[in-house]
Parts: sequence; C-alpha cells; structure tokens
Amino acid sequence: MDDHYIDRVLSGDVEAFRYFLTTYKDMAFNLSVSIVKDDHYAEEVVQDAFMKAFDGLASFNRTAKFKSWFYRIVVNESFQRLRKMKRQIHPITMDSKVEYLEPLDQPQNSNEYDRVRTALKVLPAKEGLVLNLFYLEEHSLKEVGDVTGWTLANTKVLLHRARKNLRSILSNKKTIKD
Amino acid sequence: MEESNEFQDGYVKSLILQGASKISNETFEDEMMLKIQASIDHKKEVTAKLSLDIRYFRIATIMGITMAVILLTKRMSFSVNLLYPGVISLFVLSVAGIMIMGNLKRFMRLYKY
Repeated sequence: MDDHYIDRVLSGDVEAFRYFLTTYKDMAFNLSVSIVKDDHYAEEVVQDAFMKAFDGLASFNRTAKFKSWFYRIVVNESFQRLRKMKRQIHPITMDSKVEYLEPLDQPQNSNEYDRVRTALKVLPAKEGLVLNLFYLEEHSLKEVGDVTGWTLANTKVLLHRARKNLRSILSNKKTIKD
Repeated sequence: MEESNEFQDGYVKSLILQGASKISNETFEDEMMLKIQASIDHKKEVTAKLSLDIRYFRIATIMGITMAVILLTKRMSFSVNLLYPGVISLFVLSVAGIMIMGNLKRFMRLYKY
C-alpha cells in the first residue's frame, strides 16, 4: 500500500502524501512524545519529520519498510530536539535524576489515562521509546533496533528496564535515573 | 521471534495502549499539505532563478572567452606562444567558468522538485 502512494507522490501527485499523514501521524506523535515529553514540541517534531520524509522520498530505499524509515526520521528528529531543549532550558540539570511525579501520589484523583500518560512522560526518553515501539507499534526487537540503531542486546536491556521502571512508577515507589 | 516473546507482557501492553495519545490538532493534515505545497513553490521559484543564472553565466562565459581570444590573437599577431600569460589566464578562467556552470547545474538538480 505504502509503495503505491510513494509512486504517486514521486510522479507528482502531492495530494497522495496525505495518506502518509493520516496513517502515521498519531504513531509518530506517540514516539516523539515518549522522547521530548511535551505535546507541543512533539507535534513540531512530527511536522519536521514529515517534511523531511517528503523531501527525501525520492532517495528512500524500497528494500526497507516505509514505516521503519519514517519512524527513524521521527526518532532522530526527536532526539535532536531533546538535545536542543536540554541546552536551552536545563543547562545545569542534564544528567540529574528525574524526580518522581506527584499525580501518581493520589491515583484516586486522576483517571487511568492521565496516570499512564504521566508515568510515560517521567520515564527516560529511550525507555519510553522502546515501550511504544514494542508494545504499541508491535515491532519485533530487530525492528526496534532498525528504527533506533540500537543493538539487540541494548534493546533487550532497555526494554527490561523500561518495564520495570514503568511498574515502579505506577506503584509509586522510586525515582528514576536518566 | 522467540526473543520477542520473552518480553510479551499483557499488563505493560495494556498500560501503553491506555497511554497512547493522538495529535489534538484536527487540521494537522491540512496544515502539513499547505506547508508541503509552500515548500514545493519555493523550490520551483529557486530552480527557475538558478536556471536563469546559469543561462546568463553561460552567455557571459562564452562572450568573455571569445573577446579574450580575439584580443589575444590581435596582440600576438600570428606568433602563438602557449606560455604567454594571457593564454594561460584565459585557459584557467575558461576551466573555472565551465566548472562553476557544472556546479550550478548540480545544485539545481539537488534543489529541483
């Protein structure tokens, strides 16, 4: 399906690119939020990623899946934005510990969606990313590696740690090291 | 696949699915399409200007070389000396002109929509 729309875009039918926007915008947004931890910045990142994908579509190697290629752009853009944000906003606390959040102290006051969203925002960028790719997007470990550039062993370690940290945050127990 | 199964976790999966969100901006697609269209228009405009630049540059180079050849031929009458400074400069400038033209063309191809 993707290939058909790629061909259409490359042959000059710009409107065909809307298919990619509709299909991948939400997942790209989730991936970006898991890294930059901010909805507004994440939307900007997704916009930039789509622009890059459009510009680079002609050079896209068809042996790979469009999805993996595009998610890789999103991930790279998100980490780039995160680095920029850290330089601009938190020049001193770059490697500091992320303190545990308050909404989870009173779970009875917030609904489940907010609890999980807040927990995911507290997780370190790589852990949030690996959880989204593996559980939400249902990528295999190898595909996660293709998107992120991590080794299989590294992906496993991150996934293991991310699950553990998510459970800990939701059971309101500890602080997380970045 | 087995390696992936090792990490199957219904509880975490349900949490991630619950925490999944959507872009709240309802006009996201339309805004993006406008941005893309604007970028295409910009590229077309740049390409058109570059193509005009190349045309003028080519004309100027050819005219420059022709004039230099005419002047040099008159000055040296018929005793052609390849080591004459004017001939060497003419050769170097011609090569530079052709290279610049090639680079402009390459740049235009890169920028072209």
